[in-house]
Amino acid sequence: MRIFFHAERCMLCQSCVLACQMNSIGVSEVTEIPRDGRPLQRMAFIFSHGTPWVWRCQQCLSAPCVEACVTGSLRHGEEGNGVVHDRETCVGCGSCVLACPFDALTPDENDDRVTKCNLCPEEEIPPCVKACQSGALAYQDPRLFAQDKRKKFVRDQKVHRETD
Amino acid sequence: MKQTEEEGIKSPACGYGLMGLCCSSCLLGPCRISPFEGKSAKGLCGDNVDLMVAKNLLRLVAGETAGGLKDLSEAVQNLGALAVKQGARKRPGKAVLKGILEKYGFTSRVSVNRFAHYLLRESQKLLSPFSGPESPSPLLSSLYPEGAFPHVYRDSLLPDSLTSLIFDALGQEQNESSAVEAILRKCLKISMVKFISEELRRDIDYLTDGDQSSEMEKEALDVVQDLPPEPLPVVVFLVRDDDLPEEFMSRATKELRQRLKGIARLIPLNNMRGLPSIGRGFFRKWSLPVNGMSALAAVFSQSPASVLGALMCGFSVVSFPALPIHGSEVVERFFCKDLKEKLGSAYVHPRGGEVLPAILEFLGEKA
Repeated sequence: MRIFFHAERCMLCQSCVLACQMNSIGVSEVTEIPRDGRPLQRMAFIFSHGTPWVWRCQQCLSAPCVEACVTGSLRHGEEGNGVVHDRETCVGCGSCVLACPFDALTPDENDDRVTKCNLCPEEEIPPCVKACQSGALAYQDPRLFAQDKRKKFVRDQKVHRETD
Repeated sequence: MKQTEEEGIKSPACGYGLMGLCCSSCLLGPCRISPFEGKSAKGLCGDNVDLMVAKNLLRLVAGETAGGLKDLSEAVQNLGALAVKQGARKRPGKAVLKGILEKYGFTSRVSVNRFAHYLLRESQKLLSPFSGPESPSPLLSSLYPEGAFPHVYRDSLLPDSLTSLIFDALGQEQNESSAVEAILRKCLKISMVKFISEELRRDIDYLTDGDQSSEMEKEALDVVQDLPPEPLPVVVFLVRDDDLPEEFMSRATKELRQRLKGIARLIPLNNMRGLPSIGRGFFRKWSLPVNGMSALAAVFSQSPASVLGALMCGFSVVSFPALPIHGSEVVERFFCKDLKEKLGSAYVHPRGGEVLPAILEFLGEKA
């Protein structure tokens, strides 16, 4: 499973970022957010050439960060399920930060370790996807995602032909 | 959004909005400040988190109250038309009419027409934006007698004119942090306007149309009448009529009654407008102002004006959903701590959105 982003659906509400931050400090309700809370930065919201983009780990199939990791803290998940980061064994050397082409790993300000999106394995659906109000973030099997994309393309082509 | 509606995706509540940290006061926004950004964070207009939360609350309360004022002015116009015709359209029930007359300081010997003319004249004065600040209107002194609601006299919280406060709120341009408390006081005053206008409208409607809600208020007052002679902790359980279904109200009332057995008396009320009457009822029963006793209003309503209005009636308040104030430490402290010192009652923040633990905590019990 992967998180996919549909930029055309994004309303720039940033609810995904807030949900991710709340999850990182173990809070489920906004009224429980502590005043001195220091969340992990596992995703952020940016504009890329005027298009909204949710900056996060792309869970590469051939991940340079996994190859760069000197302690084996970064590894491919079971059945190709994303790139998993084990914070317990991470020494914060920063090799992965240098290797990542998406700049998706950040040094954790709270301790000398690195942090990244782990797809929240403890949750059925990642909180960022649950919080997305417009369906811009989707949690899907990549094969299904590709299938849906092909179907949508065919449907759109059909509509174009009919309107022409 | 259209696409998500078609696909049947239910939108979750916006976290920024629930904390009061989403501002759309100008065309450059909406600005959203993360609760983790720290105190230095500002919106595009330069407002910091405290001002953003306070102004958002003021906009919500003022908008809602303005709607209530429109209803009141229509009711007053109806009353004017009937007063010209010399008589009410429907004959009001004697028992409820007696209660209304007594509330405004009249005996039951007064004719309905004379009372209607009095109500018309004083309501028109209150609605006028040019009303002077000479003394509190006799209508307000009747609805909020000093014995039952001393805090509104002590802190000059009674409005001179119902409409001028709304104009004032919409025209506010304060951008300094020191303005936060002034804005919050304005929120409280305006929420009081909402309660005043709703109670007046209900009484006027009863004279003109025989509206049944005054009879519902009588039922709530009968519950107060049945309370024991010694004061005891009271929880008024309020659900705004149109916010939650009837079965929720009855199920929740049953659960709360069981849990509060032997701790506090529960008074269910399915109409916000009855709250000041309950306050007056407590004073008649126990000669105590509401903020001088252990009285909590558990408010289930989407309306922040109702929550703040309950605070102004002297009740401590816990609400679901919570007031959108958690985004600012200053605003939260004002409602949860400072008001306790000033008014004797305060807002009880339901941590994690759980109302029952907050009620029990207020009553000094373990959840």
